[in-house]
Amino acid sequence: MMENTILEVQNLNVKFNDSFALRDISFKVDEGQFAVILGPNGAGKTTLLKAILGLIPYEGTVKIFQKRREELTKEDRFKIAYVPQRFEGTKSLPLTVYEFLEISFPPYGRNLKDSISEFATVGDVNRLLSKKISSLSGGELQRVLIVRALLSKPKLMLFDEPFSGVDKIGERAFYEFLKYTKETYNVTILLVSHDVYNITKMADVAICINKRLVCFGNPEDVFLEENFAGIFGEDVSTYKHKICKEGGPCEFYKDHESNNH
Amino acid sequence: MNPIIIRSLIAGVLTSFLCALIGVFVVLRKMSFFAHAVSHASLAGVALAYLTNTNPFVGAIGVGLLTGVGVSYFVEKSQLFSDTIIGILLPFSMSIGLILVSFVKGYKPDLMSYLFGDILSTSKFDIYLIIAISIPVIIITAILMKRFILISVDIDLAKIRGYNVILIDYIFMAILSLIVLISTKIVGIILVSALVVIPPATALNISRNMRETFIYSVIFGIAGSILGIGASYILNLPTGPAIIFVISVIFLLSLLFKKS
Repeated sequence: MMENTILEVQNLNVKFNDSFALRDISFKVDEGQFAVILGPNGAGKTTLLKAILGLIPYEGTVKIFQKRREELTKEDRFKIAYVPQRFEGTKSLPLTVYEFLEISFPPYGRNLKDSISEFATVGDVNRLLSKKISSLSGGELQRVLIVRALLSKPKLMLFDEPFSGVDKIGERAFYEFLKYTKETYNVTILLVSHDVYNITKMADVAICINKRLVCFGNPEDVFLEENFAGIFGEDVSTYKHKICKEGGPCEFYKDHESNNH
Repeated sequence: MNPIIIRSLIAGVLTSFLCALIGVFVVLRKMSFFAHAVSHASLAGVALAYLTNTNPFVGAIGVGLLTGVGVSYFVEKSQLFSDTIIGILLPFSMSIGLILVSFVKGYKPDLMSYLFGDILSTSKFDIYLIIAISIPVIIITAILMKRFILISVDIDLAKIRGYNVILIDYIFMAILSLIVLISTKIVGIILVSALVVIPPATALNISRNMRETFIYSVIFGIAGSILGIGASYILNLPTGPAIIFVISVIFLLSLLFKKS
């Protein structure tokens, strides 16, 4: 059976002020796969997502649904959902959660009201609908952003560090939710993370970057010495020893700050 | 009723409605300085109109609109913040305006009325011009309303959707400029940004959602202009300051009802 490629990145370069933030990145993700982008701080993970989404200029080719960006139709674009790491500017916003979900979609097509109540139940945000978006906690806002992403019934979902600001219990629940989403709606997921331990159990594909592509393929390969070396550059064994505790979560770095290019 | 009062009320209600509506975006996007710049730039247009013997209101709108779109252009092309660009363009256009004013020979009767507004001098032509500009502005705003909100709230999503964010932003700036400029007729160049900022800020104090923010803002704007025009007619006060005084008092009262 031919695999249906949902996302294909070829020879992608991103430059900031003449220096490469990303260089010669190529990989592809097939339909229904769960792909994870791994890498240390400043590796260009967020930059990669933004380039894929066309939010920043880049060189090279990004094909989504086997189409170049300019070939994407309006409907295609609705099938791409993005859950950002931070959502700025909600502080003085008078929007309620319901209005926030509502304005994210034009009034054509299916019944928005039904969709909102369906996905609000799925994402457990029903009781938040009449609250102001500015009054939500980090975890609540995260769930609302995910519900918003699901509303357009996407085929491809991109998540940027979905666990920043979410505790461990929330993290586990989120994995369950992702699994449910992936299986129920047959979405392809591309997720930026630093949580190697849980991800390797769930992901089908790992894409490790440190400005360049370090590994691409089986998530287990991330643990190979040469890949770790490629990601971190130096002092691999100490690093690995320090951060990969027996049976516990294995994290690439300790502080939860991530690059924000 | 006195036709002058009817004309003033039409102009006052129409412009305060538009200011209060578009003002919600101005407050959310922290653009009150922009409204200030566009209105001040229009002084150059007034002076230019005097020198070329054309209608000063038309001159004000022309030059003000150019400045509004110019700000968007320079913000997009340079790496500078919009308040820096405005900080450059506002004094620049003001200086051109003041230099041009110095060339205007003899009596300059209308200049004061442009600075502080003179609603009671609103001519039939002014009213037609205000209406002619308002109609397309209302239609375009109604069509693009949701996109204006989305761009104010989440510009990345708008870009992912493939919306032409830059073009929509230019349209927004042009609409805002036009609304501010036709409103200078009512309250003048110096006070006009208050008409765009105060009613939405008042609404934000007491509204529970976005819909209410728009509704309250428009109510406060229109109520303020009717009360202000009425007070200025009865008590013989300058109209522009009377309107701004009323909406400012409503704002202060709204603070008492502000939800924490």
